Amino acid sequence: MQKLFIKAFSFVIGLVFIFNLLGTVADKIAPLDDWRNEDQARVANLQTKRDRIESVTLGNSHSDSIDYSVLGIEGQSLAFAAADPFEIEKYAAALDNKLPALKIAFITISYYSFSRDNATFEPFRTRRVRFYSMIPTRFPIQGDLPNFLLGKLDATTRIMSVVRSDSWKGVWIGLADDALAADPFPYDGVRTDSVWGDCSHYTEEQLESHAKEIAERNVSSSRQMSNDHPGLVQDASDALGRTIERFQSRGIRVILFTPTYYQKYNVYFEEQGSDIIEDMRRTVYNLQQSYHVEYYDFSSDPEITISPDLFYNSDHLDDCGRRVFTEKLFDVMSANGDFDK
Amino acid sequence: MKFNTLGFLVFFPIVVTLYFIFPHRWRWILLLAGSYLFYISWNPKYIIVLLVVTAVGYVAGLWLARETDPKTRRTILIFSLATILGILFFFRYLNHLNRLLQAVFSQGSGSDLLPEIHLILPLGISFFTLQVMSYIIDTYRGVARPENRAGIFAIFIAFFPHLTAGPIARANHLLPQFYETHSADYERIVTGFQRMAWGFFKKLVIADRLALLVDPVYSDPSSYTGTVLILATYAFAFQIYCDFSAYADIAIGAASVMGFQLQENFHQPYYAQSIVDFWRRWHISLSSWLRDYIFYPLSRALHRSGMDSKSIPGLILPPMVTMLASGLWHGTKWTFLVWGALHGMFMVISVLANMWKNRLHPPFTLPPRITAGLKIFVTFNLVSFAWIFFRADTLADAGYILGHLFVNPETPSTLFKNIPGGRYEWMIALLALLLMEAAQWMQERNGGMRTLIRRQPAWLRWSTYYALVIVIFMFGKFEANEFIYSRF
Repeated sequence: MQKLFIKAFSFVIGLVFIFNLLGTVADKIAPLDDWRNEDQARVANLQTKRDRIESVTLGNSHSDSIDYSVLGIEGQSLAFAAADPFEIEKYAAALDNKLPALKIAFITISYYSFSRDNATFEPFRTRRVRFYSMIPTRFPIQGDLPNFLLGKLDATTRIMSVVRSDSWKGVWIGLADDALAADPFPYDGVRTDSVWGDCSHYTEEQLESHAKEIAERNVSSSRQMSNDHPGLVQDASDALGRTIERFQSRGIRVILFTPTYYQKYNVYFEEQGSDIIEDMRRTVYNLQQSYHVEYYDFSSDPEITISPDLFYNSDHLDDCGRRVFTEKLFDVMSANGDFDK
Repeated sequence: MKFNTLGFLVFFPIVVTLYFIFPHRWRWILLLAGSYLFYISWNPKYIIVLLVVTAVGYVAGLWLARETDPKTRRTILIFSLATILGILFFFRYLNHLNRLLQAVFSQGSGSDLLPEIHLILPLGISFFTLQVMSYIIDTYRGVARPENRAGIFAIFIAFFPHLTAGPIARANHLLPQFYETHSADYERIVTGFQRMAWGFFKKLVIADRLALLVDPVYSDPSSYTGTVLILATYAFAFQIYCDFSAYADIAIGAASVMGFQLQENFHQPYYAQSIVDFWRRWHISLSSWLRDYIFYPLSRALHRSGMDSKSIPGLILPPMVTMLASGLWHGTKWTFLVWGALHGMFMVISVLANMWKNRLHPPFTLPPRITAGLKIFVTFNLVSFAWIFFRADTLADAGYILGHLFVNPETPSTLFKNIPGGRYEWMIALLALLLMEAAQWMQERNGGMRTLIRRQPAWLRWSTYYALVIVIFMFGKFEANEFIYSRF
């Protein structure tokens, strides 16, 4: 029995080493998404600047809309691709007592924020696993033990980088083609020097087709998740409520906001998922009533929404857009409370 | 709980560790609790079905052993078998019968005479009911000793490695093993894990990859050309073999780790030289069940009525009834019945052909190797032809596929553009199949693959193990697809 355990342990140690090696090579040659490295950099940045960080932005990729250099405070975006309110709650809990200077927590509210539970939907489940892998959480989201275990397993073994949905095809191609390896996710937009500055953005045609595709995809995945998780809107609202409470109990100001989307994205989303938007608005209103929390809705800001030069794609602002948006956010925050740069 | 989930990866090592830590007298409790936990992780409510079937088998076995009056014994046998068949019928066939009745009686009126009953098929019901029935029949015949201890009998039925998809165990073979003391034998445990790893390779790398290629074609056959339909049909032949034999490998390996020997379920079925030979090699535990409890009793009954195997009824009825029962066991769709009927027909033709061959005197004979190769080729194609009905969603789909197998042939240059999955996935599938065939060939000729590995120096052994595990993780499909036979 002892011999067996020693050999099994040695085998597992060897396997962890090989997985780490293979996972590192695979991620370097052909990363499966462009988020993993960015997420890791954010978590690392959080560690190094922990004593100075005054503000954080939590939420999905739309959270990157805030440009802290414009706000003039030391802040850190903790945007996590496709994050749902349950993950935001866990992320907030992981920050407890780790950021002594924290004063403001921005939380992004997207149209589908309350119709998301990544654990229920296979294409997004890997995001949940990666969330656990990257974020220093000690306990799973309720009822999510398998993904939690897989995430923690990934943290030590990089197993999710070895188990690849493309069956390593990308790695072989990457090895054969240096150009692809150099930039596995090339941006297909244009670069323009406009009144807003010199930024990469989509053209009107690209924004139109992206808006149609992404709105359709977001509505359909939200519906799928709502079907798989009865009472999702209420559960997601409760999770966000607990997150707000957690920050407020430590004297941290919580600000909810919806960034600006390209006009066509708003049109397509409204066409297909008006009930999802309605759920979001009703839930945010209830949270405002319960927690006296600020909420700023810039989704259709008339100046930004019609300007293609400000959009990286139809639901993400580019660098110029982030600056313009942050200026506007600063103005309304200042008007509604004591906020100084 | 499925074998190919993280849950099992956590569950199994815990059960095995506790199993060897527990003293022998408590091990059955651990195995029973673990097996029921394994079952309720799928759906807690349906544990009742498993418990009822177990209770019926246990009581019937004890009662049959104590009763000496032949009439009463016969009544107990019929009553207990009818109860188990009734449970199986209720869950498995009632809705199908209901829909059939609705179709017949509500024709024209447009209204439903009978309401639809919403039932889920309890996991593994077709397997554990057959196991209990064989136990009752064997006890009735005096072939098996009745089990007195309810806990041991319950674990015999619910033993988690074989609970959801077999191999279907016989009482005489498995029950005594629960009384044996199994020590933590290093060689046996390593061999068990090797067998499990091999099963995971077949399931995750081959079967689930082939499923990505087969499923789109069979769910919408009219969108594909004849060449793709042919390829998907052959791919399904290997998918179902790899999927089901993988389950058996994992089950046998898991049981072996704990010291139990389950019956082998496959023996290179696609190397069979006739359909009868195929059924000796495919799903052996089911085909031997059907042989022992349907084929032989029916043949004997016909023989007693003066119809031996040379008479037309004696020749046709046993194989046809047995294979139709096999089709019906697989499911309620008409396609399964046609699949069973085809196999029955092939068997009858095979027997007739043998009879005629003995009367004819051909002017020349082919070398035995070529004859064997031809037989394997013909048998494999007959089996693959029948798989079309097994896999098709409806008879209409099966008819469409048969009618279009040779329509719009593709050239190699266009084939990979139109085939689901693309060239890369097909290439991996083919390489993995070649590796599997090579391993099986070595298994046959070198005293077993595992023996061969054991003879190698440690560095080569460990490299082989690492290579297998890494290949599984690199090229496996981890969508936790259910095993095909766990649906039955």
